[in-house]
Amino acid sequence: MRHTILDRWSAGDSWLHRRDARAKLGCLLLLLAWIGTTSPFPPEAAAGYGGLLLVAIATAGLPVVGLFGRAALVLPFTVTFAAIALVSGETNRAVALLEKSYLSALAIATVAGVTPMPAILNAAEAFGAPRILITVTQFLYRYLFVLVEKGHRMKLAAECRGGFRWQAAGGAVAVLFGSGYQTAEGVHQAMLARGFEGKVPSLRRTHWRAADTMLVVGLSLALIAGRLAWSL
Amino acid sequence: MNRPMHIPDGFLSTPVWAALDVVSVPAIGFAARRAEGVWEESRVPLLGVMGAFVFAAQMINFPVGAGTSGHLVGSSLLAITLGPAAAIIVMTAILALQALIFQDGGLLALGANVFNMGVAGVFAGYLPYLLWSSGSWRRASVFAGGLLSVMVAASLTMVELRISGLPMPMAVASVSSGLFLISGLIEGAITVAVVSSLEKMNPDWLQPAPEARRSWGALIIAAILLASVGALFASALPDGLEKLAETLGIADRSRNLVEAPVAEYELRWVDQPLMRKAAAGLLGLGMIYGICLAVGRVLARRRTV
Repeated sequence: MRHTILDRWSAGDSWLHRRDARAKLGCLLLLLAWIGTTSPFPPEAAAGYGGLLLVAIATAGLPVVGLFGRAALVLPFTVTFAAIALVSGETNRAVALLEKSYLSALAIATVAGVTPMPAILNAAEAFGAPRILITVTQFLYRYLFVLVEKGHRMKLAAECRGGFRWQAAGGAVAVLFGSGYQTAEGVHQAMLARGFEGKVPSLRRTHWRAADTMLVVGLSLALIAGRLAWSL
Repeated sequence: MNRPMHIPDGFLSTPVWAALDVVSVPAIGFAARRAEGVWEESRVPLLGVMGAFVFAAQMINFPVGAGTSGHLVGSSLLAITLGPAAAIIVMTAILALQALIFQDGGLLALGANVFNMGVAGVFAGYLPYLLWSSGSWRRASVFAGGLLSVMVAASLTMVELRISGLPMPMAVASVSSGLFLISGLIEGAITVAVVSSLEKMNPDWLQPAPEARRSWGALIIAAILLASVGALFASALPDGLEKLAETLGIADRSRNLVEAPVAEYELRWVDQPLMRKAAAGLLGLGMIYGICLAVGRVLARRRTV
């Protein structure tokens, strides 16, 4: 599972990488809820949340520019609605939309950058997500880049022939579907041969430590202290 | 073109995302239970690979004309090939990974995105196939499924944003409806092209066609289409009762008969004004988690009995 840049980042060994995925996922949900419920959203709040994330990114040894760039992927949607709010005369709402969505995306990218995807999914299962959903997501993640690469090659081949025509594009998607189906059949047979019974075992075992509790409590206290500070 | 709308975090108000989480989580649990009943555990990898297929299929561009192209969204195609319950699970997995890896959609807003594209989009995309696919209307049913899945998901997204307080002038609602209709028509046509090719390659890849129920089917589908577009326009207009009260000059005389504990989504017993909303949000998050956990336990217990 070493396909994306996130996989490379999450293979690090900082203090944040070593924390239990359940603690990191819990902290992420807490931070997202806190950002979402900050209303109005003063510049001090944006600076506070941004500073908190910057400290986490820097101390985890993640590339600051790379993560800020990843979080910018949320902007096309956000800018559209911020522009509508701006035209409607709601400047504060427009700015808050940009700040809240960007900071939330940055928080998600930071946690994804310090936690391997299988660990995030195991944490989600520990929080009560259905096992079939977790297994499907694990396989989706495992074969995502295999099939996307295949799709990319088909697209490239079609472009070399002058691009897709409508019916040919339909056929190409159907071929991709058939190829995916055959891949799945092969995976199924290989997994059965290895004793697969519906659950993908995890090789990494993490244990909840005192440092994980400190992370959750520390973040909670920092958020409460921050909000009290700018309300005074 | 044809891009679905993933709501990021920070857009929806707390009651809206909380309510949609409450609706989506049991829906996913129910779909998981149904899918586990239909699919053997050992064949679950197929569902994951089919999710990866949707990502890959989005690389293939369909020429639409005027130099533009569209791509498959996929919820209707997944429902037609895997069945609605498995399609909901695969769409949920896709949306979760899109939020985590591609920053496409939020995590707190995941319930809303799952409801719009995974639950409502899949059902709207499957309904015409369920009602019409056995007879000569087969292609029309596939087309209508693609169209409806996009229209319903996109309209729900806009309505939720409007309910959350985002300004939505009539001009924006009109232009959005037009764009959704074009995207829906493209999705319908792409789904027909792909399903036609799949039928030629291996008809067993499609769900068996149920017996046709055209008479009331047309009525249901027309109602869904009208409701999705109508809700979008209605959301751009002021609330009817509030407008009437303002017109009659009695709006300022309204009062609450019972004081709600979390009125205006604030916990009144918290002193600090800025802490009230956060405390209410966290209380809501905890309650949602508790309710979902309890519902999940009850469902699991019923299953094992």
